[in-house]
Amino acid sequence: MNAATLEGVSKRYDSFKIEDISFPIRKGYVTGLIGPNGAGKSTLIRMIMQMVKPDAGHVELFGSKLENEATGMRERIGYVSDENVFYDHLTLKRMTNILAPFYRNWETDTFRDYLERFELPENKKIKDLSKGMKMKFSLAVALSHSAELLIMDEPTAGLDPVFRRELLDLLADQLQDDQRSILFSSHITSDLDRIADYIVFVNKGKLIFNETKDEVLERHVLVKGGNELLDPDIRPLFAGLRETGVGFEGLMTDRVEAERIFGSVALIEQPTLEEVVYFTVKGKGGLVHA
Amino acid sequence: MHSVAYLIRKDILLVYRYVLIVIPFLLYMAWAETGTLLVYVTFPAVVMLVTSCTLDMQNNSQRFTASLPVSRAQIVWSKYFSILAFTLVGLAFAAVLQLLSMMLNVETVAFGLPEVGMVLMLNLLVTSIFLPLYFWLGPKGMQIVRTVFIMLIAIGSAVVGTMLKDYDIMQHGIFGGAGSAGLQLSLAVISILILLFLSVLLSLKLYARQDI
Repeated sequence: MNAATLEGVSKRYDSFKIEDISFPIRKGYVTGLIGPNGAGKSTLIRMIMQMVKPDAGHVELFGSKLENEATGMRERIGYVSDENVFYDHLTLKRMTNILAPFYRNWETDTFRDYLERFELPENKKIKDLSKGMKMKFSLAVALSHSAELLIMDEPTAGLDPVFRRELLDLLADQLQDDQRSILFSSHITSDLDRIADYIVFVNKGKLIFNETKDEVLERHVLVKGGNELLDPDIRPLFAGLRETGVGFEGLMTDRVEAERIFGSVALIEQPTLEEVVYFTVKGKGGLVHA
Repeated sequence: MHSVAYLIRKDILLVYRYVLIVIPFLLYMAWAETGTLLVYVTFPAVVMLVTSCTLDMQNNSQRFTASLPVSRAQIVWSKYFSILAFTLVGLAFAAVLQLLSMMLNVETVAFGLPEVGMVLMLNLLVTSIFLPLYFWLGPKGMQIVRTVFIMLIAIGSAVVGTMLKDYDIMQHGIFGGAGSAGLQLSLAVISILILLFLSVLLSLKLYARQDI
């Protein structure tokens, strides 16, 4: 059973639309949601949280299709927003005092451990916290009510590299019993390189791929060579292409095809996740002067 | 039901400090002997309601409530029930002022069951108008609505309160004849309750379809 599934969801706004996106969040795994700014990641997450209603398609949570409000199911979700959603003028203590009673499984001891671990001062007002500290508070809340599904919208944004690393270890710990699942959206592809089992890539409101991380990295290749290799028949084979005065770098989605065409005349490398995202979003853009 | 209670508790914890801002104004009204029960109860109650709604709008805090294990209907109901809690706070405050006035030998305000009933009806009337606007407009436009509402309540409660003090509505009704007072009041109460019912329905519908 999947922890959550989006099935053909669409949403239209004045200047943006999400078109027919489907992907599962598999139980016991980390699903990384990547894409550039404005790709639709937060909207998809808010659909799962029932903050946004899809125009078409539906969301399933823990095996049940969401038709009415899944109030009880939200108890089983730990949500970390990309922005501070807490009341700025309150102290952490007061904010905790407000939110804890809503959760039947609130674990005060666990929460206090996280406050200590994250060095969060309880008596400080939220407005006086740095962006990173606000994010840490949000994480502490999400991890303190036995949530089976952690939904994290850019949780590493604003965090220093040391804590980012700690957070990824902490999330990996959460998956030890195979009962928890994580949806983790991020611009920082190196975080997903480190933690994600599955990668869902969206761009301009469309699903580009939904595969295991290993499949993504194995399937794609980065080809580097001289500009004389590019001709009108070759160019369309690239998912993304970057040309400079001295040569080109291009992303292909078919390793076998790449090796057949460029095996002896160009350099073929395994791209990083960041390169896959960069070239896919860039497409076959114009010449880059380097 | 307990979720609605927690939401009301949330609103009280959010706004109680903001009430301190209106206390000097109310103390002045008491000292100047121009205060009425409407001023002492309706004004702080509406300020608390409007402020709690404003705080929910700021900093994406609507997303906080939407992420809690509560339904949208419960969020709407909690806002309507909040006005009852805020009215109780206002009544407690008015009772303290009444006690102080009696001790200091200053003129006290009429504080009987009919006056309390009238204050409650007025608060429900204001809530019935304000909350659908809040759920309809969302963060956009709420800034203006909030300012207009607080100004209207500050001025309106003082003016209406003074009028009622000078003119015994319980005896004469609003539009004249002594005999019609009871009928007029009953009609007013029924009208407000119908308005409240329609207001709740509208708010539930508006908030159910809103993207947060």
